[in-house]
Amino acid sequence: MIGWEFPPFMSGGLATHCFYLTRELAAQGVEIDFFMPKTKEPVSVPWMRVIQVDYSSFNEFGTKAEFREFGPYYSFCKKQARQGSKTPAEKDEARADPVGFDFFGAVRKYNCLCAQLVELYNSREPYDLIHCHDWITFQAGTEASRACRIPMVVTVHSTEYDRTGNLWPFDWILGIERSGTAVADLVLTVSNRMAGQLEKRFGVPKEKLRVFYNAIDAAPFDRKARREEFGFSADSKIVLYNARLSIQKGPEFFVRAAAKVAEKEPKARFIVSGSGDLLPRLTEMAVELGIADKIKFLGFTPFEEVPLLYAISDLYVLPSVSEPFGITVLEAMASGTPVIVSKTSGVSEIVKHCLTVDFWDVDEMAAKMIGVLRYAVLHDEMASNAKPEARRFSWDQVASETKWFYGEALARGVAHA
Amino acid sequence: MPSVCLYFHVHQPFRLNKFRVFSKRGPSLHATYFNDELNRHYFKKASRQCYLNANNVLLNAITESNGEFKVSFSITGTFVEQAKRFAPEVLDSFKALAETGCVEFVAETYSHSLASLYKDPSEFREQVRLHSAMLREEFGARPSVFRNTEVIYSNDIGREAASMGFSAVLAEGFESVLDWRSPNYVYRGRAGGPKLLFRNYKLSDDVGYRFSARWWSEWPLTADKYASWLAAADGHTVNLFMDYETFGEHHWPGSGIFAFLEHLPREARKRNLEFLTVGETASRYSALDEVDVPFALSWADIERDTSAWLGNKLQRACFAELESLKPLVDSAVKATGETELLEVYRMLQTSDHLYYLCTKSWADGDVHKHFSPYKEANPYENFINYMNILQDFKEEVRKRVEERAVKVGGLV
Repeated sequence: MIGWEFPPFMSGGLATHCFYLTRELAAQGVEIDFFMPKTKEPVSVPWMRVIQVDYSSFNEFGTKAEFREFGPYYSFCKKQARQGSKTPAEKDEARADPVGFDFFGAVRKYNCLCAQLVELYNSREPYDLIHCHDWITFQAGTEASRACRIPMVVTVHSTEYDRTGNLWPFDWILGIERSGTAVADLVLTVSNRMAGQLEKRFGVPKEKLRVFYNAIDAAPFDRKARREEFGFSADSKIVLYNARLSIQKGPEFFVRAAAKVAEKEPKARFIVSGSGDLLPRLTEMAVELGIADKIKFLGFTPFEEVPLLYAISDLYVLPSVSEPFGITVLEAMASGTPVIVSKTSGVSEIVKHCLTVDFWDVDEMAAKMIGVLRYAVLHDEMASNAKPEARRFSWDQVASETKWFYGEALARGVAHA
Repeated sequence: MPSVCLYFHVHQPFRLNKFRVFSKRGPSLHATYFNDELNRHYFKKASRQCYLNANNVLLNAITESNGEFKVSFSITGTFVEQAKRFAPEVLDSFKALAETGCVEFVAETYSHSLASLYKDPSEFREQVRLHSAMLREEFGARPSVFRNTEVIYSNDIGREAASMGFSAVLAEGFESVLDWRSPNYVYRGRAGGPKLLFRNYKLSDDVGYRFSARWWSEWPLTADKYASWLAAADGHTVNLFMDYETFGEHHWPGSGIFAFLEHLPREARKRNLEFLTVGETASRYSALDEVDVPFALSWADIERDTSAWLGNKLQRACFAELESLKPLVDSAVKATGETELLEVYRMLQTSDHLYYLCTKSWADGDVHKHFSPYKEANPYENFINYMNILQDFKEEVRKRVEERAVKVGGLV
C-alpha cells in the first residue's frame, strides 16, 4: 500500500483512513507493506511493515509541525496570488513553487523513489497487488504496478476539484488523477456523489468504480469534558467547526452564520478548530462582524484532543463546499453531538439523524444552528439517535469490503494479463 | 352473511410555511404560518386524482343501486375550509352525495387534532361541537356516530363521546384489545360506554394498503374476488374503514382502483351483500360484549398506539406546547374578541404537524416520509419550523392580550 500521511503525522481523513484500514485488513489476514514519506520520527505500528521513503529534502523540513505543510493540501491563497502573475516566467515559477518550496518537485521525487523501492521489495518477496491513496501516490503506483506486473487499486478520497472548491484546479494534478484512475484496475471512492464525479469528470467507467463509506473507531468518542476547561462559562452554548481552514471546507460560511446566530442567541460561542491558509481572512471577518469575543480560533487540534471538543460542544457544523465523505460528522455523532452538514457531502448519503443545509445558504445555516441551541429537546433527540447511527459504521466493515475489492481486482488483473 | 359498512376518512391539513427565526410576519397570522400555495397544490392534485373521480363513481353506484349502496364519510373542518378556498367544485360534489340520502356523515374533531388526549377536555368538546355544526351547515347532517382523529380510542374517549350524545364510536379492530373476538360484531365500551364498531383491518388494508402491491400473492385484487371474501366473512358486519385518498392517491388511477370501486357495489349486490352506514350498523346489531381499552388505540403503524404522533421527545414537546396554549388563547379571545387567534390555534393542532416529526423508523424511508409534503422530510427540520411557529404564536397571543390591557387601562 502506498500512502502519504499516517498518524501522528496527519492533516486530514487520509491518514485516519490508512491507519484503521491497514489495522483491520491485517486483522483479516492481509499482509501489508506500507510505503510513505520519511518523517522526523519514524512511524511504527505492530500490524504491518512501514517503509519510509528517505527523501533528503524532506528531512530538511520534516519536523512534526512543518510536516503538515507537506500534506496533499497546498496553500490556496499563495497559489491564487501567484496565478495573478503576469509573465510566463512568473507563472512557471508560481507553478513550480506554490508553497514557498518545491512542493511538486517533492511529490515527483517521492513517487519516483517509492516506485523503485516497491520494485525492489517485490523482487525479494513478490506482492499480489498495489493499493494507492489519492493523486499524490498515483504515479508511484502506476510505475510500480507496470514494472511488477501486478494489479493496482486506487482509492480517491478527494479530487482536485473538491480541494479547490472548483476554483483554479491545477491541471497537473488533474492529469495525474485522470491517468491514475484510467490505469487502475479498480477505483474505490467514498460516496456515490464522488463516484458520479469520477465518472463525469474523469470518464472512469462505471464497472471499475466501487463505493465504500468511511467509518470511525467509536471508542475515543466517549470522553467527558467541562466547558470551563476550555475557558467557556458553564451556561454557554458552543458551536464547533473542526476542519481545515480551506475553501473546500467552507469556514467562511460558518463564520458568517455564527454572526447571525450571535445576534439572536447571546449565550452562543463558537470554536474554529483547524489550520489553513484562510485563517487570517477568517479572523478579520470575525472582527468585522463583531463576534471576535465570541469565537475562538484554536489552530490544529491533535487527534487525541478532538473528542474533547465534541464533548463540550452543543453542535457540530461542517459547511463544506465539496466534501467527498466527512468522517468528522460520524465522530461528532458518535460523541452524541448534533450535526449540521452541507448537502454536498458524501456522509449525508448515509446518515439520517442530522440536519443538512446548502453551504451557501448562510441564513438557513444560522436558523438551524439557532434551532438546535434554543430547543433542548431537539438537541437531546438528535444526540440520542445520532449516537447509535454513527456507531454502525465500523472500520472492520470497510476492511472486509476493501478485501473483497482486492479479490475483484486480482481477478480483473488476471483477465487482462 | 354479514352486512358491509364502508367508511372513508377525508382530510387535508393546512401545511406550514417555512418559518425561521429571521422570518418577517405576513399580512395575517394565517399567511405567516401556513403555506397556502403548497396547500392549494396538494388540494388541487388530490381533487384531480381522488375526490372528483371517487365521488363521481360513488354517486353513480348509489343511483344505479336505487339507494341500496351506502357509504359513510368523516370530513374534517380543515378539508372543508380548503375546499372552499381552492376547489369549491369538490365541496359541491360531496353535497351532491349528501343529497342522495345514502351517505352518513361522522363526527370528529374539527381540525383533526389530538385534543382528545389533553388533560382538560374543553378544547376537545369545542372542536367536536364545531365540527358537528359545520356538518349541519354544509351537508344538513346530524351525526350520531363519532370517530376520533386517526381512530384513536380509549375507555375515556368513549365515555366522553357518549356524554356528548354519540351512540357509537369507531375503533381499530386490533387483537391487543379484541383478543379472541372477531371485529365483525358490534361491541360496547367499558361501563356504559358507547357502541363500538371495530375496523376489520385485514380486509380494509387489502384495499387501502395492498391493492397495488405486486408482492402480494392476491395481486391483482378484483371486485369479484373481494366481494366473495366479504360474502364469506363471519359475523354481523364487515367494517371497512380507510382513507378516502386510497382512491387515486395512495393507489394511482392506473392501478385500476377506480374500476375496482365501480364494480364492487355490483359484485356485492350479486352476492346479496347489504350495505349499511355506520349509524345503521350500530343500531341494527346489539352489542355482544364489552371491550376494555385502557390505553389509546389508533389505526396507525404496526404499534396501533399514539407513537406516530407522540413517540419522541420532539413530538411530546410540541404537544405540550399546544396543550398549554389553550388557556392563553382562550383568555386572549375573551379579551380581544379576535377569533383569528382561535382559528390559527385550531389549525396548528392538526395532528399531521406532529406526524411529520416522527423519527420512528424514519431512517428506513417508511410511510411517514412518503406522506410528508415538505421537500426534505427531515423530522428535525420540521420540528424547528413547527416549534418556531408555536413560539411565535405564543408571543403574538401574549402581545395582543397586553396591548388590549393597555388600551382598556387607557380608557379607564
